[in-house]
Amino acid sequence: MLTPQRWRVFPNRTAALLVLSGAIIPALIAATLDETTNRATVANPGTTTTTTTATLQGTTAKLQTLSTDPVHSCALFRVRHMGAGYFWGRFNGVTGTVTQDGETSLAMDISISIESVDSGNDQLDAHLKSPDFFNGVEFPSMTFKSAASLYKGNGVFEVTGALTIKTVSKQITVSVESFGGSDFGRGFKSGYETAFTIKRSEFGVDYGVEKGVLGDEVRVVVAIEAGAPAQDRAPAATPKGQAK
Amino acid sequence: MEQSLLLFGIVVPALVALATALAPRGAWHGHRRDLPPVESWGPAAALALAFTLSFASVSGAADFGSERWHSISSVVILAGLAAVVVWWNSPPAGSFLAMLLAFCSLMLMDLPGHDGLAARLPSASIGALLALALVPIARTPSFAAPLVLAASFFAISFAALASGHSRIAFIAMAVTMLLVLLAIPSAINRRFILGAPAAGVAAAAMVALAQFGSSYAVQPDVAPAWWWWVPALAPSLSAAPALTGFARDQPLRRALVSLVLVIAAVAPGVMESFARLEAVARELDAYQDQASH
Repeated sequence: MLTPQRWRVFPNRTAALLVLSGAIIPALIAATLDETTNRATVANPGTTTTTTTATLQGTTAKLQTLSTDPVHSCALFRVRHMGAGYFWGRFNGVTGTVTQDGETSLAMDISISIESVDSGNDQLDAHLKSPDFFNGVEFPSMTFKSAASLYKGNGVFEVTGALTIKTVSKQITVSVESFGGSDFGRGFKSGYETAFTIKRSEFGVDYGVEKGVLGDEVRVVVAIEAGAPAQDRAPAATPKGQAK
Repeated sequence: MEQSLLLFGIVVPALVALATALAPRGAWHGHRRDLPPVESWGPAAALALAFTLSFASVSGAADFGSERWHSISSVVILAGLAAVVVWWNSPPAGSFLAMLLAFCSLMLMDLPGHDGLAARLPSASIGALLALALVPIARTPSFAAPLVLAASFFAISFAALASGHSRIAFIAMAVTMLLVLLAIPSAINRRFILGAPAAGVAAAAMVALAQFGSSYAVQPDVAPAWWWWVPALAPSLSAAPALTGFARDQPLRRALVSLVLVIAAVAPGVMESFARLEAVARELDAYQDQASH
């Protein structure tokens, strides 16, 4: 039998339970919805710590702000040579982070090493690194840092950000295609690609433009494969064919 | 090589600068052999002008000063202006002011690795010593004198080409062409000499280019030391005949020996640079042949 003292505190306990229920139940509902819809939620652009669940191409994996895989990422460029054909070269050192929030946002902070330029010819590489072009000694990298993104459908984001080459920083908008991701037991990986055209003279890389030896417009293709940093990866996958 | 680049990067700057060199003609006209040579500000100003015009032509006006290597042009302009001002007011001034000119100019140069006064002292000191070494040959009334400096700038130009610095190669070649052209009035009129001011400007320009080459060493096959060999050691050899008292009363003979010494010093580097460029050209030709089949 309840004492008058206990009767007195009961209404307070009820109120506390109600308050707690109000906080917990919506959270439970939200968590359940996440599980059932398998909706990918990634860190807000600019953050680096959020860890959530994503399902892409049928594989569920831990996803956070992803670091570019330098081996499987590169930037290609194409420029007209002597008013005739197009010359292709590439930068092998593409580093940085990619943060995707499902179909909500995509943030990129990418740096491309000038030292990694690879035209297939050592002499030409040296020329590209020299102050005639990129001046790699003073400006060892060019960068792209996104500021906003908009999902356009079919895995394509319209990403706006600052492209910085040498001392010039300009805002550009590029279409980035997200190919989704997968986990083959070595951590979750996701792929992205973009292609755009810039005028190199606007970035202070104007060698040969005035005399028409080399074209001003440069077609750029950046292919990125990004994955979770090594320390955040799951333990090594079970060898193929063995029961987990 | 594209023709308009050759024209506006090398030929036009050299011709305009030549006109500047010959402008103060009143001071040195006359063909009598017994008249002493006349030291004029013209050649010093011409060297600075050729360098600057070529720089402006090949580097473009956009974002001037946005990169540290642009300061080498400022160095040479400043040296040229200082030479004109000093020698306009107190002709002829001599070795000390040539050294001071090169030293002060190079102290102002701002290249990678040139941070702080202590880092600038070595190259500025080399510039001052080089100016001192160049003054005797610059005051020699002979066509060989400008050619001594021309050989050095020619070698710098090839080092630049082999290292992947085309713009600097054009600039050095414009100065080379000017110096070759200056050999003509030197041959015609024995009173026309480069003079100590030109020695100061040339020393500043050579060391500035050396500092450039070693600061922006992007071609691993070309050692930064090569850049210092040409401006610091090769032209210094031109002073050897004067220092040893060789052919004291025969300036032409002495100048020719200086020229031979300098050419012998820079020739191996030029040949190596040339061989490297040839190899690149062959590689490209082979690639194009392969692609066309």
